[in-house]
Amino acid sequence: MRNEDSKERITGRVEEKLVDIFELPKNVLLDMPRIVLVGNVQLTLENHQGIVEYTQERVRVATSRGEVAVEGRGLCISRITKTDIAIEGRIHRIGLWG
Amino acid sequence: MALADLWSYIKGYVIIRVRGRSLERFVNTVVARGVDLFGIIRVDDRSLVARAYLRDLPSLGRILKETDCRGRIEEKVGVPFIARRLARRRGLVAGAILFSVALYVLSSFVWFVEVRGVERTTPEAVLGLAAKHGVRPGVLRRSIEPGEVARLIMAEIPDLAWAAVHIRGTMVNIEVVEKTLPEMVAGIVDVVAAEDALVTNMIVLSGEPVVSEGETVTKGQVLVAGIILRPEGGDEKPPEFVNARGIVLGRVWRAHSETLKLVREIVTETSKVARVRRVELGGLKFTLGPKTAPFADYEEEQRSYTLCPGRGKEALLGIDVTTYREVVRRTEVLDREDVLAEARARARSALTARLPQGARVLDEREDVRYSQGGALTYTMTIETSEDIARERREKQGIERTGR
Repeated sequence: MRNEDSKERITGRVEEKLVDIFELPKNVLLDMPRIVLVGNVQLTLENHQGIVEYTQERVRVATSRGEVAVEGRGLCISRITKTDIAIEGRIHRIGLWG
Repeated sequence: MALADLWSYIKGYVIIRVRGRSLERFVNTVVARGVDLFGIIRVDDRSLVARAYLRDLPSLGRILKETDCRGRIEEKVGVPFIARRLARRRGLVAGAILFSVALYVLSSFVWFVEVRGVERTTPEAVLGLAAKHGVRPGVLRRSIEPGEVARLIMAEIPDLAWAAVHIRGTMVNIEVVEKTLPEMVAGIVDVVAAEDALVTNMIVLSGEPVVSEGETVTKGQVLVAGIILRPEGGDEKPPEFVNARGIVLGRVWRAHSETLKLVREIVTETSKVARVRRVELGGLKFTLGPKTAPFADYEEEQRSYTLCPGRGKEALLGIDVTTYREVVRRTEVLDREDVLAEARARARSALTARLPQGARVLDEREDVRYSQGGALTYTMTIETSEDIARERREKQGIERTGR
């Protein structure tokens, strides 16, 4: 088990290095979340891994790098698919836990 | 975004209300199963409202059970639902279609024909003519050719200057303009000269020309006569009487003279003043001071004061004061150019005021003369080309002596 973990970590690092060397977009190859913010009214997050918390004031979304928390007023999830999530409303703050 | 909304509206979706403890888990499971969920709004701690497509309802039901949530359909939105509702109400649909068809069919006929602009001709005459050419209530709109009908109407009523046919919906509008005939003045009208002039150009519209180009005419002289003594077509025809009309261009000279002095007298007071006072008391008069003016050249000023008014015209007590002020007179010779410029400006403004509208200035001449008395006479002559024709009604019964 531990062995597998470290093995995965090593391959992950190698992948990252390769992506760096070839200057490839990270979100495409590394499953990294990509966040697009339109003004303070719409946030689109690609490569999410599920909703952790959802209220009108706070939406927390799990990603491969940790949680992304969006705080604001009247938040609503206007669209959600396996990979993408779009949040609309008045966005006041975005917290990133890496 | 609006496009996506429209698409989901066409596809049709349901608004569901989901209640449960772990709504996040519900949403995650739904997404993990590949079911589309959109417009998710958290209502409160225990419930949310979301939109889902109709085809996903069975899987949603399963997920609800799995995640221990309860769901309810709040509203069905979109084209498929409306279609289903309409399918149940055939009568309504049939009525709507029938209405549209009836509207289309009925609006392809002409229902009204209207005539505008007739004054001397009657609207009925125009309507009758239009009906003859296929413009009447009940005909198909497409069968009307507006340009052709307008042309025919115009051809058959000679009094019309212009006609047009417009189709506005189910209404056909026939617009006509009647010819305006020139107003005839009763009696004989001659064209006479407005000014003394040299005739340069004559365009006679009606009447008989009495003068010819190159002739000089005086103001009031008849240029075009309103009596045609020998009409065309033979000598035995009686004279015709017409309203003479024409344009007669002529050269008109207008002159204006200004006489200005070249010297100016300047009167200066020397500050020497003498006063003569006459006191009047009852009928008696006393003179105080010198009796006459003590200066060679002077200006005098007289004032009367009534101190005590009497009964009649005479004052009971009055004083007459005559003030003599010594003056020196000298003359100043003015600059000739300045005087000339002044005279020229005056003459020009006087002449311009006399020019009629439309007059074209051909030439300007000036003449300056100096007289012995130190004066300058400036004459400006402006030659213009203008229409000198004026219509004048002639008193009837006067025998024409012209040609």
